[in-house]
Amino acid sequence: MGKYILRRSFFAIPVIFSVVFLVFIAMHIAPGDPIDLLLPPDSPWVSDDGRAEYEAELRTRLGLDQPLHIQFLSYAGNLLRFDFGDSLYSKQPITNELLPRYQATLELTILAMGISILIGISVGVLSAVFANSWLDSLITFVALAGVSIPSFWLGLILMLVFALGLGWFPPSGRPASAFTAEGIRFVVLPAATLGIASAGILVRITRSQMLEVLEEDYVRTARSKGLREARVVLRHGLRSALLPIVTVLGIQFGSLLAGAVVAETVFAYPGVGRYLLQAVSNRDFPAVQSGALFVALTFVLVNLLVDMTYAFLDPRIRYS
Amino acid sequence: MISVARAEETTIGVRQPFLRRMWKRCYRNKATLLSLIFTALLVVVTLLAPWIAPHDPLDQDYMNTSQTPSAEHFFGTDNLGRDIFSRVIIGSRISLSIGAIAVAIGMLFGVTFGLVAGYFGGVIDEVMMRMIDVLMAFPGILLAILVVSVLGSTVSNVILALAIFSVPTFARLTRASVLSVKELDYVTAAYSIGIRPFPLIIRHILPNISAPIIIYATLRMATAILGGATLGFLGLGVSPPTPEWGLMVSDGRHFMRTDPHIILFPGLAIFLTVLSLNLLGDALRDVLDPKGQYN
Repeated sequence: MGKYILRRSFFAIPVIFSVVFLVFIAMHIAPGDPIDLLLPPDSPWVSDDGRAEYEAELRTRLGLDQPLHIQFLSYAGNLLRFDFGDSLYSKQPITNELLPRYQATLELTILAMGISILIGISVGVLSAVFANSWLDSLITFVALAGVSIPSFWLGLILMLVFALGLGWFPPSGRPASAFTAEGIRFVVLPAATLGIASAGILVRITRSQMLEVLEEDYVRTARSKGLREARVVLRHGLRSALLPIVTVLGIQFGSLLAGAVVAETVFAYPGVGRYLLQAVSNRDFPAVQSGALFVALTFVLVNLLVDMTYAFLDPRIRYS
Repeated sequence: MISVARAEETTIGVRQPFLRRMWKRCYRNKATLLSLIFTALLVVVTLLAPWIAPHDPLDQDYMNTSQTPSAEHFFGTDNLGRDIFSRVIIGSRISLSIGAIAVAIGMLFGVTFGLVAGYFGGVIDEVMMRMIDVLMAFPGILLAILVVSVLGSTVSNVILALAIFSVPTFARLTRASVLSVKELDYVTAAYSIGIRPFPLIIRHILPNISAPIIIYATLRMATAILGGATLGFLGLGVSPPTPEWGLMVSDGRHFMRTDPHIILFPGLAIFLTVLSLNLLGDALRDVLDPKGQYN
């Protein structure tokens, strides 16, 4: 197992390196001088007279007068020291700004994932157990509707009904961590908004995996031994169906992490996604880079974790 | 021999009774029938939009702002007195063309990538797939946000962003399909009589892996339309006053408490469009791929 973890972690290094490179090079891919991207003519951060001076200062500070490979090395070097540079907008270190938002987004994503797993797997199993019944058709349809509904629209409707209409939950904000009595009410609607689509996908996958597994010989054996149906389905069925579901969970976590930007925007929830979006509209490119990097690197790490879980659950992978 | 027989069976089996099988599926599954009707209707509406829309989608009427649905304004009017029905109708052109063009471009590059990587294998495959891995490290809509933020939010950049977002999955799907077809006897036979790689890939491999690509393109179109609308909602898509569905929801949300109909109809338009494309994709999968080979 140790050897597998080491090997798999090793494979993640080139991906992480390339992600950093891609985010770095994004600034240089845009046509024209990168300084135009950082300080566009309509940039609100600099007056016309101070412009040339600030431009020169920025060029030196960011090392834009250096050759590209030197720039990249110093960028990557700074990242290793957890230095993401300063925001052009607030002039503050981006790391300080991002960390609390990162926590907020992680909380939101984890809760959304929880909702999605809870609904997705239980309803998926139900659908497979009652395969081809009216209940199954209904579930399949609702699951597809969940995947198809635009999450920003769903979020607004949830807000309209449960916050503005019924007043069960506050419509926006995040006064405290989601894992406190005060904060939990604020995260329910965003997490539900975010989790629905992913729940739909999980229902579909759980259903198809369960249908396959329930045909297996060992399930028939378990039944013929006279085990109760619930035990057959959960112990003998779901347990082996879980393996492929775990892989999908990793990808789902990534989509949730990125999709959080929508829930955060609708519910004015101060997370990385909203930071990223504000940075885009402020034309604060270093902040955009860092936000994107945070999300992408988290996703790479989560996938690493998922692969390890998978190897732990299925010994065949470790030894191949 | 078995593999040859199977390959023939797939080609013939898919081509001939496709319409009849689709018809049977519609007969049994009413959701499929409805999605087919809705999609057909949508295409007609998109093509004839300027003739169907009763009002100018940009025309502001300050005497009639935020009207609820009526005989004059089927979906009511928005906060600037613009006819929401006309805006939704004209907006179908934008959403559908963004989705269709983005998927077409993504498919072109993704499939080419997958064909080359899968057919040639070895180092080429390894390098190309690692490139795809890197693109896939940017989950969901993140890559699109990054692209639009660098290049600016215009329609063509939104299309580009969504196309890039579609490339990796098309590439992986195509590569996997090529690998399963490549070893079949008819490909070996074609290779052994000296057919060069390019014609071999185009004439012999591509037609036999088209089913999963078609299925996937339909599903991807749904994702791309949803993605385009999401970018519009986030303010990264087309700019106002263009009647883009996502943007319409975004504009309307400030008046949501008093006039929920402003966000209701454009959102419903996105939802139903994406839902029917997804239903259609599912139906195509069942009809084109009854054995579930490509799942």
